[in-house]
Amino acid sequence: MPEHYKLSWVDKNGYTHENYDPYDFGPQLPAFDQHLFGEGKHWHIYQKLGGHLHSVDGIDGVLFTVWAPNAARVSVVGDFNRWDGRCNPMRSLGGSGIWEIFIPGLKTGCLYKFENIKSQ
Amino acid sequence: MKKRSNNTLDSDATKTSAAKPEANTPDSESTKIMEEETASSTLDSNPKTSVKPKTEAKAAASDARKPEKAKTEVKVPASEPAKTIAAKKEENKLDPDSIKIIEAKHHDPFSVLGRHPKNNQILIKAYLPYAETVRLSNNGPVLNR
Repeated sequence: MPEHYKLSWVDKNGYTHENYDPYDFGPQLPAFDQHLFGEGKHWHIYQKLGGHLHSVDGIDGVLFTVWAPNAARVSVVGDFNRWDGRCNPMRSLGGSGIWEIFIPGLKTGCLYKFENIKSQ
Repeated sequence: MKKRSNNTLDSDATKTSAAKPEANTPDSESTKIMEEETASSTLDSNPKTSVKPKTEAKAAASDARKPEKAKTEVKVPASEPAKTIAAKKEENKLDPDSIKIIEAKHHDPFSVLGRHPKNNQILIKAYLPYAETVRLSNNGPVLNR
């Protein structure tokens, strides 16, 4: 297997989508940042949370991170996944309350929101 | 139990497909799973291989009634590139984790989706609700709904 694999899929209109699998990538936000943020002393957290251009193993994309400590599930929705929260659920980073996902292939200019489901 | 035969899409005659026993379609979920499983020649002795009925035509016929959701699992041997191995499709009973993924309620989707070892092979699971067919880009076999 290659280091990272691509999935190619065809939608109902016959259009082919090809991208690396977001779920093939490990956690991206360093523990250092999580620790400082947990202490309330991360003075540059705006450079981390939100959506930022990011590169993993030479693959460019966007890393989305959001602080949602009471969420049961957080997804990133946007024009790249039909605003469908099923497509890109995020990873919870330990007890930091931060959720993240790296989506390869995205560029600046795409629209996104975070979809947050509250724990019951 | 509904089983599908191995779908050999590779020209490498030395490779054959292995089978996976469990197969079922939960109608209540109205969800079909596509699974692609590939195996190396080291698994040729797998006794399950010989009991697979050929139901590919049936699978194609049922594609017309497919629901919106689709989940694809691709399994490849750990030591082989996907393009050198054969493939098989089958319907598979959804495990609880997969159901949670489809309901978008799973607390740790990275533990289900993506690439994970399973039975000395690699299982790649992807949830692509809008996909009609899925394949690995490096000449992997095509999976239909």
